[in-house]
Amino acid sequence: MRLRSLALVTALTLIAAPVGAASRPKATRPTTTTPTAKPKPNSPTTTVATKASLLRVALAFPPRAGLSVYSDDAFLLSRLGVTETLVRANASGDTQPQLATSWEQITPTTWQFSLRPGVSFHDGSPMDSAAVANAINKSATSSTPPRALRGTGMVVKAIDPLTIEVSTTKADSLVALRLSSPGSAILSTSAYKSAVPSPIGNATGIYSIDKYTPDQRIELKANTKHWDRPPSIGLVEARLIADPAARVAALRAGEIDLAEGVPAAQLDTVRKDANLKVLIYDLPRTTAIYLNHSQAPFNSLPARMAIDKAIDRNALATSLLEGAALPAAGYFGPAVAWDPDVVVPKVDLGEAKRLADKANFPKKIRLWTYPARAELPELAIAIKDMLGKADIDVEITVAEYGTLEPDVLGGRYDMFLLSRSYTVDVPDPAAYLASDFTCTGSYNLNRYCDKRFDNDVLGLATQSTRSARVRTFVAAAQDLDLNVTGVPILHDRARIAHSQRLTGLVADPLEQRLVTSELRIAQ
Amino acid sequence: MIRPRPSVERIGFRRLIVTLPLGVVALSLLAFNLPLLAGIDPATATLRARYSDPNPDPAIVASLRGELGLDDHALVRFGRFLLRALQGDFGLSYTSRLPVGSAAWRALSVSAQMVVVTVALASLVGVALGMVAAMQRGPLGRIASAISAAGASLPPHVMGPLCVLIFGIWLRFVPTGGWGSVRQMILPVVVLAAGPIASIAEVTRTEMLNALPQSFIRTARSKGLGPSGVARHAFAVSRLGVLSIAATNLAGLLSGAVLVETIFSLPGLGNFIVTAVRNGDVPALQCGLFVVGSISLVVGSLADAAAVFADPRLRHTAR
Repeated sequence: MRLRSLALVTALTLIAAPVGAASRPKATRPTTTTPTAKPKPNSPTTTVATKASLLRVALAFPPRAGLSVYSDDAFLLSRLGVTETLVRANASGDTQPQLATSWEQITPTTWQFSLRPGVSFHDGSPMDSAAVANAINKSATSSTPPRALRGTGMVVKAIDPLTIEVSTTKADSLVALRLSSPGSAILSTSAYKSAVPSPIGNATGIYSIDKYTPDQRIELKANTKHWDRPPSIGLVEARLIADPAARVAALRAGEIDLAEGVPAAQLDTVRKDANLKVLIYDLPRTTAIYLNHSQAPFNSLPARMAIDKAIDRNALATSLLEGAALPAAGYFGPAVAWDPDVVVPKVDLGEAKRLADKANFPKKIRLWTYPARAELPELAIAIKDMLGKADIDVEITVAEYGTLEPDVLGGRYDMFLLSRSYTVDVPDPAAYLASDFTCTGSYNLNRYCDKRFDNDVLGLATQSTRSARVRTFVAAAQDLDLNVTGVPILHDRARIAHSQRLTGLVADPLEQRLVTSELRIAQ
Repeated sequence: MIRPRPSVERIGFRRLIVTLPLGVVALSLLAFNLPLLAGIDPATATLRARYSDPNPDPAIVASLRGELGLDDHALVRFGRFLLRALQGDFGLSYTSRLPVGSAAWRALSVSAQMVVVTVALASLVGVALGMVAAMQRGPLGRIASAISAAGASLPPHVMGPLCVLIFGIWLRFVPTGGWGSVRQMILPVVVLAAGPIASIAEVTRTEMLNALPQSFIRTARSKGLGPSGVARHAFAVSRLGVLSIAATNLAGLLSGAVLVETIFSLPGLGNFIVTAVRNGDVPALQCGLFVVGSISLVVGSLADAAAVFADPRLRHTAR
């Protein structure tokens, strides 16, 4: 019996031992006070990590492709301040220098970029034109190139150590914007020795990756030799917590300082916590009910208008989502400065009923959506209820996107509730308008087709003036609105909750910046 | 001529030699075909996982199909898969292009640590509660029964968030999630153990209540054996049931603890398989299914062997 007990205790100890051994090194605890940085000379604005202060961040989306920049992991790396691009852009498409100091379009298909002198990668090697050309050429020719570079035939040549020439197969006015996409991040030549380019030690950002524990955390340390502003926070621990409730719980328990993607249902709880704050800002993303124009009943304008008139967007935004979204008037929202500023349609149930009668709706209309975005099934139920009040009977199906997609793309559906970004990688919606609303668009779910609209949108390819492009976007948005091409209902908003100790958080609608030099954390 | 009855060791050996390889082949077929039967196009799913892109470019999909070797005939791919799997190589993940074997091993080590501790805790607590409930007819027995009933009626998706709120957020006794320290193990293990504790306690109690009126217990009592000695004798009868439930839990919880893994952000095998399904990551899914199936086979065989050792009568019935 004693032997058995001893064996049991030994077994339990052996089981517990690896757990303890796998625990985080104490060096990353907040109590650590090892100096990690020296003041950067010749830079009056430099802020320096004088001690190893620690920022703990909970990320909503863990790396999916081993931190490859040929994937959406590029956004994660950019948000954590690990990678940088030649150009920085905002959601409205305004550009600023970053690793490039200036650029110029030499011919319709050629651009020249001057690189910033004195930039080095985390491993200490200098960033020169050869490294930049290698990085962009490798991205552009990879088997799954970043969306911003796809189909451009982009080739980069080193002209001199600090100048590159970028050429494209067709005239392209968006080259600078394309090179602001996180997928165009500049990594040193040694990053490409493996099949998956590794950003560890090979990027230029304000933080370098110290340790990556897959599925658990990424530990970062400040790049004290950064060309611009080394961060004041010495260490960052990015925990990968996919479950939104678990992120909020960790924040409320004081285990992390910042949690992104706070679910709408928990916004109120977080707001009531005296130790926490919430940052909400507009995203270039719209949730809309896509309507199948290729078959009855939505091939008739009254049917589409009936849906439009029956939806109470304000109730969905304020009551159901507790302010986590804004009511939408069109596909483009306040995240872009040139938002057409259309008035949100008011609910008119009488008119909706009249139009529904006129449109001769079938007994049941199908509304499909998918659960990957938690709020969509809830919205579908509220929409069914609202349409029911206008005597439009709805049958909801919630299934994985991949299951629904063949039928949606094939035009075998009635209504599809979808949330979609209009400026994913390049802060310019030309590609979005072309794929989603032109007759030959590969993602034209509404199956909308108007030759005049197509001419305007496809004409953007040769339109280089920003103001002219914006005029076309606004006109396109108005066309879609007039024809009730789907029913945009909400503009999504980012919800970041953080500890009161944390200041300097910057709202970035493009979701490319989160951990920045501006952040400060009180000890 | 009467054939001699085979020994227990021989039976166990035969099971390992015959059952395991057959099981492995069946698992290989299942692991290979399941993603295909689910109608997942791995190239499209991979691109969606890499880029959150609902509408991947068909040219890129075609190029990726070539890179992943998906244009080869299914038989060729199965042969390749089987050959590699037998060497312990499950290839590279479609999404990350990193070896799935090492990723599955990491996930398995998390799940294994959690599940072994859970089953050990559940066995200790469950047996103790069951014995108390059977032996004590007073308030103590009723309390033991109530505790096991509570464990059975509180599913992980209710108990998990409740424990996080009380012990993680309000009292801050333990971390709300994550993996890497013994403290982080406490809540998931307790939540995961609640169900098995209840079932083990119930089996122990029922078996002991059946055993207590039997003659060998009366004899033991008449020889002056105290309550603890009587309990030990009566429990000897219920060991088989407890062992069987513990083994079932051990195998089931390895991949079936997805809810608890999600609530506590644990990078375990359940999450590994669910993510593989969601991303259409066929090599990761095949590896996950293979690992889970193999462990179930091994644990099942070990449980059979342990049952024979626990109850010598089975040596004469096992075939």
